[in-house]
Amino acid sequence: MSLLDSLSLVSDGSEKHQRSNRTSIADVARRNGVFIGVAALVLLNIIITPNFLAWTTLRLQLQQATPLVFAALGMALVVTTKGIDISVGAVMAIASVVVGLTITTVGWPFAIVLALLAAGLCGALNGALVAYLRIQPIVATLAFLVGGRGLASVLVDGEFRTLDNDAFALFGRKFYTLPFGASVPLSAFVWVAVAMFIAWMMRSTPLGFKVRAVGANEIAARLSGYRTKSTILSVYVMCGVLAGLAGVFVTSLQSASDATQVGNLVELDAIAAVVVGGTTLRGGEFSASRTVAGAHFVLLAESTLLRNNVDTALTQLITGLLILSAVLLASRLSTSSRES
Amino acid sequence: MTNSNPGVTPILEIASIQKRFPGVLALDGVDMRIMPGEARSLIGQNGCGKSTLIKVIAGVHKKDAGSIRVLGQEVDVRSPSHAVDLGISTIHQEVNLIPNRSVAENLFLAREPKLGPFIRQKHVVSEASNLLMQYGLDHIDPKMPLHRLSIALRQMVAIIRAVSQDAQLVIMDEPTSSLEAAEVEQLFSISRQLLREGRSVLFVSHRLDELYEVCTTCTILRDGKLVYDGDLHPMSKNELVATMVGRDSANVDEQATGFRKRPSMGDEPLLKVDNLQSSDLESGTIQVGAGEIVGLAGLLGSGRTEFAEALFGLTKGTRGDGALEGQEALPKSPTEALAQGMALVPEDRREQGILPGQSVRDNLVAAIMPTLTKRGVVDKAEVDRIVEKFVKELGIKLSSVDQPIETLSGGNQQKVILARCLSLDPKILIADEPTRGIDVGAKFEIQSRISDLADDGMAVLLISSELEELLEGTERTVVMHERRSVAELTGDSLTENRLIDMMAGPESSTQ
Repeated sequence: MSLLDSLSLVSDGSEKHQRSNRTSIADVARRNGVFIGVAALVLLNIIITPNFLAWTTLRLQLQQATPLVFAALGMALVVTTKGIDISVGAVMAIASVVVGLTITTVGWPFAIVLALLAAGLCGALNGALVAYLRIQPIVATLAFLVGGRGLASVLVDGEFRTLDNDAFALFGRKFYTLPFGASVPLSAFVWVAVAMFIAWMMRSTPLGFKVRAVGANEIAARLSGYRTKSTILSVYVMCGVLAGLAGVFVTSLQSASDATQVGNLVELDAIAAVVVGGTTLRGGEFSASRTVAGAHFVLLAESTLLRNNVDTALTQLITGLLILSAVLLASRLSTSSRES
Repeated sequence: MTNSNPGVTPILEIASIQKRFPGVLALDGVDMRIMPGEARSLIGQNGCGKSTLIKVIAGVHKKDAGSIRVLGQEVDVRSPSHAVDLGISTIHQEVNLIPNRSVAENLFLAREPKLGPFIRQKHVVSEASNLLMQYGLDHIDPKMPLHRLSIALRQMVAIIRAVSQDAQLVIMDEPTSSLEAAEVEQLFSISRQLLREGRSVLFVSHRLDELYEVCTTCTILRDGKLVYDGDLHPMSKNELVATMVGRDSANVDEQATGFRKRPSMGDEPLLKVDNLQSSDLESGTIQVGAGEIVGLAGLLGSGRTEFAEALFGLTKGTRGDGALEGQEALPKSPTEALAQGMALVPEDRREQGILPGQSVRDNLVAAIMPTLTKRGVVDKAEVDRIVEKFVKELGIKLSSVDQPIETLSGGNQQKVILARCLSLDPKILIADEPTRGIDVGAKFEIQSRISDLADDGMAVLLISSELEELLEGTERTVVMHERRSVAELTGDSLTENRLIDMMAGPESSTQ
């Protein structure tokens, strides 16, 4: 949790800008509800889950959150432009397959680079459909959700490849031991760094500014001189690269590349994480810290139930209900804040 | 006074209404009485509380104190639908009907005559045509989808729907702001018919001239307080404005416009186009010189906005001769236009101007921000310096530059959009309806600012549907008609009558 807390301090600029003197209590609650939600789940776990506070449990949460945090951050960027990308899982599979195909010939560093390039290319394809051909984001990325995973399977003949590369496996499996018995996975440092980088980019660079402007009002952004199409393209590319990073992590963790299971249904958890984080689908708003917290909420909800031996099917049902109630709460709060 | 007849029960009587929002007392003890058959106007500057008052009456907002009586009964208006049940209907500028359904379906929306579970379609259509005929709109086919009608006709459908729901009081909120003269007349004739039927109308409008045509009484609010309640006609337009802004009418007389008479100094054209064509424009010819304000007049749909958009590079496939000074051709995109020193204040502030949900600061620097970087990172100190400079220069009233843009009044939002354009230090400014729908004070300030800019050598193209603005602000005005520029009026020929003649079509004039 310490990592998560430190991350919440680097909330991005849009959040601060919008916290005007007219911001109502409901709006503050909508923006911070996800942190309260995560805290509540942690508290609940401390009470009911045996050994929850042990570092072995906590570090597992931090490690398992990695792919979802990457995917959710990418999704949040796309949502900021009023879009959505449901092909995230398929792009993860493609990245995984590219690692599997290239790692023995080019070595793991280049394999990762190639995987991220391929993932970025997939994102560019989605972005081009949305920005230049004006296809509805959900439709454009649906095509890739189906076709992308198919492409991944074709590339490796649907074969599951075990990778024998210890250095590559470190990304997924390495833990650092810190003072006081704390143990933190390498991947957690990576997702914290990535989240902080994206928060900084959205707050302090012209690109971040343009992304928010295009999401808030595309015509106004265009009249302000922005090349709105390339801005939209760029968020899909970033979303693709982040999905690629998630795919590389999963491949490293299981030391195997796989076209069928990697990233399966991750897009839905990612959308849930963004929405639970209180980001509106109306666009123009982005928060890295709330998105990360949203990802942790979704995962904690699932793991709480599984650790307490709730049946898998029932777990899915209850998780769904939890997400729904979080979303309902957020939307109720945001509408009441708009009315007042 | 028409509303002092003791024998008749008022349709609506409100007393000492108070409404507080966080940080503001929006309504402070407002009284109003509307008698059957009375047409009352409700006016005031932006932010005076008139929208809040309407929303309290229509059940959108709850009052904090005071009483509302409908036909003598004290009521607590719980919701907009409760208000409709009480006989109070509100017609908004953006009509709340379903564009894809037919006129008939819209008229009976949510209360369709049914036979068991089935809607009696034929009955709906015949009832609808009866209603339309009753109000002289028999040229509308009740089976036509609503979106095929003009905004004016949609408003009339909404009014007829209200009447058929037995509305005794129809509140019209800025009904004419996007209508053409003929449509306004049509709206007024329906309003008069409502009045003859003993219904009442509460009219909210920025266009004072129109109020005299329909309304008999007047309520003026200023800063949430009632400052005038009485007959409209003894008040002159200047007196109304003076009461709204709280100034002497003598003062207003001089200051009714922010424009100054200026010597024409347009000798070297900064912008020169000849026979510009696009898919939305048949032919546009115009020249704007440095230090000159040139007007562009025309009715809605005459192509004046399309002309501006073609100049600004928003339209694909424009043909014709034209360029900015020192350039080979017109810009192909807004990005290019801005780079060549041309800026545009768009016609529709809400749809094309503001970045909703974003701060005043981000809205103001939106255009210049990409250049305010140090090694790829936004230079926040420079951003703040520019924001502070323009907030001061244009007198933008705000409590914090961090507040969301939509919490500012319309006039201040418009100033932010103007500041966004000016931050780029353009040579040519195209201002499309820069003062539409904003209060008198802000209008004055924006007009005088535009005069200043021209004095400093900027070339200004001013598009306006207000003839006064063109007559007072420009030395030369080009008139558009049916997507062509048909006349250029200057000097003694730039008069209201000539403008109206040309806007109506050159063939109808004696030229």
